[in-house]
Amino acid sequence: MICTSCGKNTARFFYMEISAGGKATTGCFCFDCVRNNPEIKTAFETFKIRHKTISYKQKNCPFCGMTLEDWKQSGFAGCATCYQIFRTHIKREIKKCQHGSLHRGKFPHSENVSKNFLVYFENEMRRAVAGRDIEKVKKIKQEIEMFIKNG
Amino acid sequence: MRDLVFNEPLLSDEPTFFTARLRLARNIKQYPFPHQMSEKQAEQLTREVIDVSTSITDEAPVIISMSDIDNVTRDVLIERHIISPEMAEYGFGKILIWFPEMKLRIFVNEEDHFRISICGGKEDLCNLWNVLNHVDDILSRCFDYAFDKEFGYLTCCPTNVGPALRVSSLFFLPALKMTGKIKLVFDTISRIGCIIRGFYGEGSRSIANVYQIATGPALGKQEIELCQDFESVSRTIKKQELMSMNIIDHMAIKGKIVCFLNRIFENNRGINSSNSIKGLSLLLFGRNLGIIHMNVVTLKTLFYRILPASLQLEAGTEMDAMERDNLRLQILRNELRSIYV
Repeated sequence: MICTSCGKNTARFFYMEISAGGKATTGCFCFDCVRNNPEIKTAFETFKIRHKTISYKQKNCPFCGMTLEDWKQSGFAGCATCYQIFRTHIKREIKKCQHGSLHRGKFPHSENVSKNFLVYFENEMRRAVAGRDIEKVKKIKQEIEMFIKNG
Repeated sequence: MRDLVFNEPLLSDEPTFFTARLRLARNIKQYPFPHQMSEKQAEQLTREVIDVSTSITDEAPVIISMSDIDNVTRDVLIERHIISPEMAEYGFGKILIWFPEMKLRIFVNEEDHFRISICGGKEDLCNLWNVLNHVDDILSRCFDYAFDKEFGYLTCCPTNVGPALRVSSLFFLPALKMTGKIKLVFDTISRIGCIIRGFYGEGSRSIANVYQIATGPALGKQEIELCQDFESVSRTIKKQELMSMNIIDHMAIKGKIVCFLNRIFENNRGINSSNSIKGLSLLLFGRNLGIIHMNVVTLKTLFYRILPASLQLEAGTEMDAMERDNLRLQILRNELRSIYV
């Protein structure tokens, strides 16, 4: 296809403009016309920036390169960092497939155990208070006392 | 290796229960999960684990690389529940670190970086957990585990996060199946979060009334709670099976057993694995009902011995279907002679 601006070179850029009335105008430009005509150049650059922004919204994991789409398709996480990057999505998924929402099991050697137990008690207490579950509050209190007693 | 394989799996002498297993899934922060790993990364991790493996217990580990073994050995390992069918699939750096005496196995680069499992012939899950926990502690000192304060241990599949512990057992439930109560029992245990699977775990079908029952997603539960809850589920299943055995027509089962034994001893044509397993299932059920008198563990061992790859390993050569059927018939004749009158 020949460039509609100079009518000489082969066109490389194609566009379609839709007016407020719904009327569509199409056109195509060659490299030289886009480079030399500032008006066309600005229009294409704006589009490029917008396109970049849309692509950026599709976050990918900096460690393994996995995108949210990849995760949704395969159902598998790519690495431990994926859990941080796609936290909102994964939280929703975990809510669907798991019965609980907070880890209560053992901690690896590298983690500070007592600190994590306090986070756990705090979260449990907050939930019990929000649900006005007096029995549970009492139970957590006992658990805290036991924890402090036993170290 | 051949002798080690034949000692697996560790079978229980209880009538309704084969074996119990606990499995932990662990990943390492510094590496992408196995399905995203490059060959180089997988091999590097494999080397690191092999270096550490000698210091886990006093027992020297047997290290088997999945890419170095032949098809028969791979099938035997699957048949005897030493590895999972997924472990045998193609992948980089897949190795098995096996401590045969402890019945402990570490799968490297399966779905997760480490799948640490332990088996027991008795359903003493809390004790099995203590051993597994100890091994996990040793590994956690050597590797930086992928862990999140909220989600627990991070795994490749989000359904496994949390303690990443799966407790499972193989049950033999013919009475529940025959009385039609099995659906009700399975519906009830599904509601409390258990999963019912076939003989070889996920995606497989039940063979000869043997079912694998496992714990489901476990986030929010402690490991010891999981073991105790599963022990209670297991007790209920066994109780239901024993109760169903009381309403089974013994004469009908006796008739079927006689038919099977006649087939074995009076017909010289070889027998395929499917028919043999069905027959052995009947014999085991007959033994549980008190119709025949035979050692439970011998019968259960026969279940595994007559499977295609196990037969070939026992014979020490690759065999076609007809040769296997003939050898199977010979083994069954030798083992069942005492009960054939």
